[in-house]
Amino acid sequence: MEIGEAMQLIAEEAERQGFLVRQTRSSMWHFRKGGDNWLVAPKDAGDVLEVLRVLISAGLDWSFKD
Amino acid sequence: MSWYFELEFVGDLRDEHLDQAAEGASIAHYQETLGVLRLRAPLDAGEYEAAMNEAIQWPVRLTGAAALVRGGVLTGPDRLIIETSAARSRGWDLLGSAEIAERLGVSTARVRQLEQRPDFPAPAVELAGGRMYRADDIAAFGKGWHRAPGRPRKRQSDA
Repeated sequence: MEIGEAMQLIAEEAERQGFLVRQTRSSMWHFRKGGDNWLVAPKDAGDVLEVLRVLISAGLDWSFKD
Repeated sequence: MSWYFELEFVGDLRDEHLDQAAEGASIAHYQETLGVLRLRAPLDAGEYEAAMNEAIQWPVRLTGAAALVRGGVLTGPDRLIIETSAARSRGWDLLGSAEIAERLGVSTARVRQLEQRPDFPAPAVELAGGRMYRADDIAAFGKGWHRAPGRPRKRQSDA
């Protein structure tokens, strides 16, 4: 799975769970929940895991994933 | 050594500012109620002194945030955090192989071996980028794990 595909998967699940998700003009991912905004630009797999870690800390439930 | 930097600014950012404010950071977090912007980035910087020197240079490379400061939208930076990835992970609930290696006092290659054991915890998250484990599960494994020094002994039947 490439970085873009992994981020798409995370974005879709985050959106399903109530996060507002969009891509900015500079292709960063913008996740919003309540008054919290995260803008991320993952460049490698480690960055993707970091994004997921941040979103899980913000309440994203990823536990159902195998 | 892998280091992590975080800079904090304060201001009333609007949606149109966020893209610019995040420029140069790997993750930007803006808390609207508090008006706090945190910009984070990893850097490979050798030992502490080299990390300090890199940290001093880093705000200059955050051109978007710097422009917002000049424009009066943001003030700061008023906080700078410099930490190793190991120090940063101490409060985390989820750990990758580098953090597990640090906690168990082994190499990441050894972590990959340990992952094959039936008593090693199941990952909480698995992506193409790797697996992440719950810190509590790793702590429990670390307590119960019998570390015999040296190579495992051959069984009689192997001899």
